[in-house]
Amino acid sequence: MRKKSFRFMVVLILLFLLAALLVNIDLPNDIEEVKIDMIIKSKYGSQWELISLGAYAAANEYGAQLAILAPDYEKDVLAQKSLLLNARNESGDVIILAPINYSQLKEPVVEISNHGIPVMTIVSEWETTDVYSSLTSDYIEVGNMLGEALVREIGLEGNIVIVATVNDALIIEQKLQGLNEFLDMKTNIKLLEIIYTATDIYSVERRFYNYLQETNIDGIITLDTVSTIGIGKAIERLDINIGAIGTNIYEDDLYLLDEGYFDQIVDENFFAIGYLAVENSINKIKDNDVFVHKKISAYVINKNNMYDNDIQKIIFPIK
Amino acid sequence: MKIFSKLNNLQFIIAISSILLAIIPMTYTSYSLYSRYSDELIVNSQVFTSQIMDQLRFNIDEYLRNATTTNEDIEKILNNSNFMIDSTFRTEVNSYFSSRNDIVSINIYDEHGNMEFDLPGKTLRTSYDIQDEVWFEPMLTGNSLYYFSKPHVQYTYSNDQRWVISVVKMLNIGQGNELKKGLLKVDISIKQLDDLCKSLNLGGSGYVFITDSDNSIIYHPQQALIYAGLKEEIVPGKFEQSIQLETPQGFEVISITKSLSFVDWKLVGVTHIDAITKNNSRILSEVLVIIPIIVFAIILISWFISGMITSPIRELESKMRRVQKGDFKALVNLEYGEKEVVELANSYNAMVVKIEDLMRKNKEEHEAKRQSELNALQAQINPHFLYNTLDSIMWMAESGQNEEVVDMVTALARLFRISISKGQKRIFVSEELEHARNYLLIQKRRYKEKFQFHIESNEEIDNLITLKLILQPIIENAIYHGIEYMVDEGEIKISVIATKDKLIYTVEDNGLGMNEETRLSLLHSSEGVEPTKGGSGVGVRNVDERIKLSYGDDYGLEIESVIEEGTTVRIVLPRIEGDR
Repeated sequence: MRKKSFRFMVVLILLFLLAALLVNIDLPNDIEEVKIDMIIKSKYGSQWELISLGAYAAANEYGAQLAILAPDYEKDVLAQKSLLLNARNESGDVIILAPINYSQLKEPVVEISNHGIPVMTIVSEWETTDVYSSLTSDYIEVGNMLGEALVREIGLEGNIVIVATVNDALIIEQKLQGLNEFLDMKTNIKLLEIIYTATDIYSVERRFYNYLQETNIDGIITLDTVSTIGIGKAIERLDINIGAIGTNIYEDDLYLLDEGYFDQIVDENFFAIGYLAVENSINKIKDNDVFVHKKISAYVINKNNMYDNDIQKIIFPIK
Repeated sequence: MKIFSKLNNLQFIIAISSILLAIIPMTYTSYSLYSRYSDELIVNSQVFTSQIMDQLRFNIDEYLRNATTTNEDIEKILNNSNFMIDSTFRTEVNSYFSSRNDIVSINIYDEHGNMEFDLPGKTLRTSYDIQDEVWFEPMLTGNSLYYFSKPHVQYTYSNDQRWVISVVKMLNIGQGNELKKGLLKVDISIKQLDDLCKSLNLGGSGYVFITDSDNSIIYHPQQALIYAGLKEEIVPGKFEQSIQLETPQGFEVISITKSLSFVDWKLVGVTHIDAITKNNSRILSEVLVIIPIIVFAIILISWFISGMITSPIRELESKMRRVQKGDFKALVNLEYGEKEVVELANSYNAMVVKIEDLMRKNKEEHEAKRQSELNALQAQINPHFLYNTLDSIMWMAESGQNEEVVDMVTALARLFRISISKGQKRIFVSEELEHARNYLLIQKRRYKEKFQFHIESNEEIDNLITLKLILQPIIENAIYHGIEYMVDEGEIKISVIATKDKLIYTVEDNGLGMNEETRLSLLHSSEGVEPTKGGSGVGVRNVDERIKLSYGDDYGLEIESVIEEGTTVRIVLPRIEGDR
């Protein structure tokens, strides 16, 4: 009986020691901050600045730890690949990627996903078999909106050109698809040509300074920021009256819209992309519902509405 | 049923009762405390949030008051320069502007909307006309001291889209010797206000937004999402309040509304209850780990204590079972135990001792009674047989048969010597057979050689122990019932064999035999032992009863008889080895 009592007391003491230990150790729980690495295409440009602002807003709201990384210039896919692999090694909880080049980044993305770190892409389309989620603007809808805006400026007839740089072929392709669908189905507007330009503003401005003098067109549509600003500056220098519809303008160049060099701009909601990407990543880590593929609507701004109470809250972040 | 039987024991019942009595109150108390703690935490958080919202209100009021102070400072500078916007004024305002990084622009307009002064002097938006502002006319004609715009993007300059609050004040501008009305517009960056709101600690995911007198959101950290329709915000009522509500995203939040005193705006602080109670989750996790350990400990303790309580009872039960099987040495010696159980054990011990004593006395009395019966049965042999034998000897002596008299007397003497056997009840088989031989010799003389007899044995059997005087009544029965009335010469054959555990005598005669009624009456006469007419006086049943009394019902006599053929009697005894 004594031996039994002794054993019993030992078991009891061990149990209470275990309980005391468990009270004092840190149990895993959801208090720990989610670590998110967001790798975007470039450090510069209002598009990436807005995405970053949105991302930080969500991280602050949800108490996540966010690191935003980017190559020095937007075409440096090797630098982005390197950042991607570093993020994997630093064992973040989740990676948000705005991929510069699909084919060159597919392998590391798949490897990281297989490594157990969820990856989602933003801005550029990606196959959702490789990543758990993809978030972009609705580029076909952007194309439609460009067409609608053009009709408001030049009517249902006229000759136009479309200008784009070739930074992201897929994005441009989808915008063109939406634009062509609209123009073909609802207007008699004639597309003279699609012009692909260099990826710097100065080259675009110089080229179209000449082009616009030499070519008689009723309207021009630009499909990205660089071509929009470059052509806006060319129109400013020429001071000509032409139906100009642009896409995504830098904040510093909004005067091109305000002064009437560009008539309308279709602006993508980059703040929302940044915010929703982080929110979705946090939901992924916390096993809440996540979207697999989401497309966000853009909005049209012009010099009359850009300072409207509602619009200004969307397009101008508080800095 | 078996399970119920296993569970229906005292230790299990005591243990389960203790466990339930411990766990139910503990669980209820834990749940109750946890609920109260959670509720209290939310209430405290509301109070805490309200306090920091009061502090934020104070800070924002201060921020707006400072904005008015800026206007007053500039007005003072203008007054000091005799209301003239001259180089002195410009220099001083420039210095003032340089020292304040929260000021985005300072503009002075005359009553016609012409700009009289501009800092920082950037490119003006061509489409901007001050007279389009909603406040332009009212400020020139009304009595309002200040006008505060809602937070908006600065739109005076074409390349500067910072978020500002415009503070407008009417002032006098010198023109020659006269004064004319003018408007001073100072755009103050809302960065400071934004920082104040964002730095507020409302539990990580908490935030603050501002509504105007129409309950429209005029500042929100996620206003780009809200106005793009990607996020919904619930705007509470116009009054100061603290309420719990569920957001469209499904979050439980506390919403606290505070009115600013300087302008007709309201601050709304939103705190996620999840963030407040996240420490609860930790506590809950710990409780969920620790409670099973405590429950396990309670089960162990309960089982141990109930075992301690019931162990003496189980020992008592075990000893009782041994007593039930006849082991009266099974006394309970408790080293420990409850007072009541120890007393019960002592009473039990006393009872067992008493029962054992009574049993012993009963056995002794039974033994004494049986011995007296045996003695009485054995004593019955002597008078009848002695009388008959002596009568025969007397008859032979009278007729001068001296040799026969000597033989008879010798046989009788040997018969009695064995009968006496120094008072022993058990003798060697050889002695019993000798006794039978002497008896047969006496009877053979008495019946004038009317029968022959044979006795068969061997040395091994001779040394076994037998109850004495068991053959003589059987032989007597064979003579008187079987051979006495035979016309031919009779024969009595006695043999003895021994098996592994039995000793078996067989007495066979070729006499008249007996019917079944007689055979049964020999062993089962209800009238007890009847001396046989003309015999020794000791009946067959006498032998059977003695054997059964001595060795039990497994032993005794077996009689087989056939009319006109003879009778065979088998005497079955236990095999008992003797030691000469």
